[in-house]
Amino acid sequence: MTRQGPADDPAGALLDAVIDRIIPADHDPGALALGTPVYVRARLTADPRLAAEVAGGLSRLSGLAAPADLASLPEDHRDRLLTQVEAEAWFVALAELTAEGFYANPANGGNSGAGSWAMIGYRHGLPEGPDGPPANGSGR
Amino acid sequence: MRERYDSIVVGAGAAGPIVAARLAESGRRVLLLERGQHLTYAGAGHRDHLRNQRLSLYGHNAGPEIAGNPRVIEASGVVRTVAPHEPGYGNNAATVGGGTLVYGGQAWRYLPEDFRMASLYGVPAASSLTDWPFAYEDLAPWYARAENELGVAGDSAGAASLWSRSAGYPMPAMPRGPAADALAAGARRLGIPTLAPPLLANSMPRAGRGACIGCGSCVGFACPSDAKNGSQNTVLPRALATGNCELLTGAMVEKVTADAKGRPTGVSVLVEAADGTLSRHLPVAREVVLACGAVESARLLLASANTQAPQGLGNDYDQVGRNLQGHTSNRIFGLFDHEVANERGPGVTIATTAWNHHNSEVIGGGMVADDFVLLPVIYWKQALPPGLRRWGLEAKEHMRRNYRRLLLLWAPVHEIPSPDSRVRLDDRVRDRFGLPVARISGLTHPETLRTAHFLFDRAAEWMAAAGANRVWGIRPKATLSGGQHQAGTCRMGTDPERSVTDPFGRVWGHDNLYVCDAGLHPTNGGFNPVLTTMALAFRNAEHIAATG
Repeated sequence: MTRQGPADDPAGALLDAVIDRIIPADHDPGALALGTPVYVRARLTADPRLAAEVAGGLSRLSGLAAPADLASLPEDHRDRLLTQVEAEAWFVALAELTAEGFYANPANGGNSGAGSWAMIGYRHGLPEGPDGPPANGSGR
Repeated sequence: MRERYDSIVVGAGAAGPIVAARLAESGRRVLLLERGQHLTYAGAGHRDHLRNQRLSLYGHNAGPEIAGNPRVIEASGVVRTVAPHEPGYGNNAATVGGGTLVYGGQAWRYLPEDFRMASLYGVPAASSLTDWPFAYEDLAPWYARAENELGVAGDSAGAASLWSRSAGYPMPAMPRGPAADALAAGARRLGIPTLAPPLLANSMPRAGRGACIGCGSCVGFACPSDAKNGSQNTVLPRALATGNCELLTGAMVEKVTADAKGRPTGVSVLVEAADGTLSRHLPVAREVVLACGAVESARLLLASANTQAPQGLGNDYDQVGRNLQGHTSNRIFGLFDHEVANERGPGVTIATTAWNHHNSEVIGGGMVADDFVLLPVIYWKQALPPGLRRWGLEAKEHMRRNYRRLLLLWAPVHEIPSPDSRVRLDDRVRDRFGLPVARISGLTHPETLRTAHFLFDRAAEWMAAAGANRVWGIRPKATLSGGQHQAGTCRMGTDPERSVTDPFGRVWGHDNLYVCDAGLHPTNGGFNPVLTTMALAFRNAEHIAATG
């Protein structure tokens, strides 16, 4: 996974900080450890309208955190701020993207090593591994 | 491609290859046309959990291509153009094998009562409820053919108590799992009978192919061990082995051609070469069989209008495309305090037909069964209890704790058909070939909803009796007709003014044009329809072979 630091991409760090709380780490890996931001960024790139909505939401969220930098706030503080925006469409969509990447097959990019499947006890049973054969059919 | 055949069959889905095989075995030269490609597990078995025929969020995996194959849907006054993977389109898969390549393969016979709905219940207002033009007993031998020639694994003793049958299933049922144990205990408490659902899959090696390896992802994907029995790995090879059947993929039929008197002569078909170039061909044949599925066969009859049939073939009485049905379905979830989910296998392991008929308050009913193994992302999308916060540790802990502690009951109802639920040609939107696309309109009949809600409550009682400590689900609302298990648009009947074909699928007004797919079903049963579609194909192909 590629995780950009705050210095070169403040918005990227903010997005990671939010994704980190959407599926947090505990004794099992969370979204950051499984690379889910890579999946989320790919979806946002594919959907510029949603990307703009999320960017707007993150910017308002930054405002709520000001003057502190949200990404550097403690987890419980971040969670309290997210609770204030949890009904907003951009956050609902972002949470959904995060979860679908986290629980989908690893080749989608958000579930590295099928870590979420190990956590919940899903066993794929495919001879080739969790993603099956590499090639896809028609219709993509 | 030759210029002349005895028979042209359009569509290599559930029914087309059955018809092609029988006609080829009768000595006819058969051309089998399929607009999709010949997909295999190696080439198309990739498990993209977000792009498949079960969950098609951003795409799907068995055709048609997303770009250039739109449909138009009209619901509650809103008209929208939709792509094949989007809600409302009702995509059936466009590939050799059609939906049978990627289905779960539940192989139910309809019950004798399913063939006599109008006689048993009367005809509700604003509905076109009707009897089939023949009885269960007439179709029973052809069900047996389908079960044997494609290969069904089932519970012979359980089925013998529900259907008059000449013999048991050719293979024993798939192994049970913990879900069946819990639900069987619940059924005993309620005093209802259960059986293992019959499946079009090998529970043991058969016909040169292996047994199911239990990957747990039947629905939406091609089978890793080729143990799932579709038309593509059973009857199609048989058709091709005769040497009399030519399969052409990437072949989009524009219309049925006709002579100056309006008699069908063959088809006009666009064939796409590997480099994308299109060529138009006009093969002729003594008979033409449309087996494109309920939406596309109706569309093709309408798109084949000519000066003798300006409203479309077989459409003198404005019947083509009407009575579109599917399966309004209940999904009931139950959370247990111990692990109950089936981990392997297809996953569907126990069903009851206790509420298919003879319910005092509603018309008909439907079967109830546990569901195929839920992929994790589908669990996330569909199976979280209402009110659960969908982010944070609470949601993660719910997934971790409860993925294996959830059961899902699925309960489709025998829909009450409506003449206003229909497929037409859109007058504006064209596909990538410039052909008019299907426009789907019409909502669930209110009596269907009443039956669905009755069945919801029964299934919820079963779930609670099985020991679930929390039970919830979504009661169906009126939605666009069709969708999963689409049927009814070219109904068989005995009255040309109220049906599209005769009882053998021959289109009224034409002695050499047939429909053979779920469009023929006058009503669609309270079960997955595919075995009925296949049985009809065996029956009707025999009739065409003998009389055509």
